[in-house]
Amino acid sequence: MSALFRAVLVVLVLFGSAAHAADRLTLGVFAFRPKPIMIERYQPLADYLSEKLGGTPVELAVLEQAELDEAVAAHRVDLVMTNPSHYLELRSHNSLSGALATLVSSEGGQAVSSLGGCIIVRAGRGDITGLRDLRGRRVAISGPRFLGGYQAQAFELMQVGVRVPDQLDLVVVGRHDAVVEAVLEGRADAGFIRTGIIESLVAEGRLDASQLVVLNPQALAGYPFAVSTRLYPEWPFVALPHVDRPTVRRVSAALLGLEASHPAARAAGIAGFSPPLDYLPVETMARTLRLPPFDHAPPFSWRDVWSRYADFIVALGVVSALVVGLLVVLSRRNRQLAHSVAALVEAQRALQHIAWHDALTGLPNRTLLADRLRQDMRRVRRNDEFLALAYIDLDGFKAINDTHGHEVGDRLLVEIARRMRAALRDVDTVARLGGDEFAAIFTDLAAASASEPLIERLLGAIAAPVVIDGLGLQVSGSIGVSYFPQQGDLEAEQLLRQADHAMYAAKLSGRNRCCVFVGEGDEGDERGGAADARPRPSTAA
Amino acid sequence: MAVGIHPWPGYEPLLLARAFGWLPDGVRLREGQTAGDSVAALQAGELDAATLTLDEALAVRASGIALTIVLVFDSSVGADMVMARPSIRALADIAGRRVAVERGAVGEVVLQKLLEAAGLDEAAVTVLDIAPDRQLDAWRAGEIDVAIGYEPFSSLLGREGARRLFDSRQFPGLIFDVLAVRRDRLAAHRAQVEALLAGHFRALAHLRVNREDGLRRIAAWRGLSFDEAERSYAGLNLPDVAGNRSYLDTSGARGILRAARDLNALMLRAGRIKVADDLVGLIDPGFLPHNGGVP
Repeated sequence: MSALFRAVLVVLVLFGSAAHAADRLTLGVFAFRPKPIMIERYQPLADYLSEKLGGTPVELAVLEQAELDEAVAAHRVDLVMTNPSHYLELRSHNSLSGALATLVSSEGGQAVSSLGGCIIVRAGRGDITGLRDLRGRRVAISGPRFLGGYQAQAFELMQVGVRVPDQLDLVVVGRHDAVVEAVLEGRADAGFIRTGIIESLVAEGRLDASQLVVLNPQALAGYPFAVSTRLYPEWPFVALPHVDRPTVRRVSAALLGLEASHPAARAAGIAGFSPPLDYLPVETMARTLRLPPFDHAPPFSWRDVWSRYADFIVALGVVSALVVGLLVVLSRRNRQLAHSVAALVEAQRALQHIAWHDALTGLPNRTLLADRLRQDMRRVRRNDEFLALAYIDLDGFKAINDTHGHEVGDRLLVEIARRMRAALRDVDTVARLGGDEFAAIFTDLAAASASEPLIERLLGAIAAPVVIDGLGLQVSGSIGVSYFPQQGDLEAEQLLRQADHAMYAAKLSGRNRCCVFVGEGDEGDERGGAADARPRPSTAA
Repeated sequence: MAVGIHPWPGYEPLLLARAFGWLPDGVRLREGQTAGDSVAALQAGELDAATLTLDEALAVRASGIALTIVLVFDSSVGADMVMARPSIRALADIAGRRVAVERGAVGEVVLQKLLEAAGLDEAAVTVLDIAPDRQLDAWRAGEIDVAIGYEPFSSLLGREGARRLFDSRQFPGLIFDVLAVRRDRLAAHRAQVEALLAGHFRALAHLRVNREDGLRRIAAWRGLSFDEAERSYAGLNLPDVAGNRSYLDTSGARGILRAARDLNALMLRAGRIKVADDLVGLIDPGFLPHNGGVP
């Protein structure tokens, strides 16, 4: 083709307006081979269509993919022939009509309306014998938008687990012819080209077929080309929507009527056109590879999620509800348990109180007294201090009890207990040992004598008159005191016995007084144990 | 799970699925030459399932192996055929001729229908037990005049000058090709059966939308031309998932159950079975894909 022709062509493509009245049609053809070759091949087809359309000239415009995109978008072309994946892409942008026809190519008398991809390596490359061997290899391609020159191969590699393009070192070299050169010259380990290229180059005398090996050859009966992939429908012939219907009908009829023997068909190296094939396989492939126009994930709605994962979501919901339910039950049980524990602790405390206190007066009982006494003894010894233990027996209580009854006796005990408690310091302990017997511990004393005012207060508290139900009642106390520490080791029980002895001495010496245990004798000598029965003046008023 | 299979256009999607890696890992296709191979292997306990015609499945059930049909590959509308020497122009001309048929297989149904249509009884012809895969040799050796068979073997006879005399278009809705699974092994292989069916429907879709690719592959492994492969499907209806649901309708008003009732009568008459099949547990549509078979 002359340079002039091409210049005219470009002018037509750039400035030609859309053929509204079908006074002229522009046929855009994707240049999958060098433009001069393409023009040589397809000009006769354009001329054939011009002739069949009866006076409506059909101009040929051979365009690179980007040029074709632009021309379609601007309606500068009316008819388009391109590869199927490009067709899908164009269609998604321009709502092209469906294909009018599918190209039927021809090779050695065999008519085929499917194309595929070839994966070629230089002959003698023993290190690349299968698809998986391509991992990490330098692979020449004509461009990622070529169906037979990239996408078909990529899909096949994905099927065997080779991730494309991640796991290939792709190098874009332009058209298919350049891919073959790159492989032959060793600039690439392998190349992707569409079916029929090898056979064309061989026919043109530009390639010796023995120089190349086709990987992953497919066993396809009667398919005249070497092929490495599954087949896809050949190029569609498409009319843009702005072309009027009568013209579309006449173009279709002309295409389907083109015989393989017609010069236009022979020049293009095709056997004509068939009724349009289903382009769904191309779409499936493009979706799988996320190629244009499917390179954007569709917006994901909740409805989609539901329709796809309904079972899972329902199961998840049920499980979640179950977990929440169990958590509620668990927390309720926990709260109940906490209540139970609190009640238990309370009950234990109450039991402990009962175990350690006198039920009538609320004073510590003998057990708690013994415990406190042991603790106090340890402390005063450590602190180099003293404590005094007072054993208290009420004088005249039995008579009151007998005369006025137990109830009055009890109430008297309660009142005297309260007064004794009030008469003592916080650190001191007063306990009821049973009946009308009490004991008091005066602790943390700097000297034994420091207990004396306290004992006086105690005697006073006991001897003060008490009015119960209008009865004026009065008792007194006989108190025996023993001090700690003494010479030698001394147990709490011994100390208590000593105080008990001293108390008897106080009783014997006239009641309402205090006696201090002073004997050094051992326990076996209690009776002989002397008590300093120092008489105390009655504190009774 | 071992599945017996033999050459038949309706079964090719399974081989296509295997070629594309669409079959589950645990499924092995065991290729025999004829249905007889699959039947023998079923009876020997070597197979869990087999691709059979409906009448063959009924015959196996009668022999004591309970089979359940989970898939219909195709219904024959012309693909089962009677090829004859060109001198035989009318059905009645077969009287006194040597007729090759595979005994115990679907050819018997065609033979019964052929005799019925010709108004002859079996004694009027010489029946030779020759399976379709051996009919070409017998034909070339001049040992037979009439061959009851199916594609792709019938096409091979056609190349030798045989003429189609009669085919299953004359009695539609009787010959079905199905996947029959041993009922006692069905539960254990449930997931595999489902995956196998999914693979089949995926391959069937490939054959529909990418016809040239699928047919060229099939033609390649059968040694046929593309055109012959294409023609071999002319006499078959290949139901998709929805079509299968219709054929495997358990109400019995149509499809497999109705055909099975007709075959019961025909096979009893021909002496292929002694007792009519009760048809209990014969079909189970529960393994068909739920999503319409779209991968």
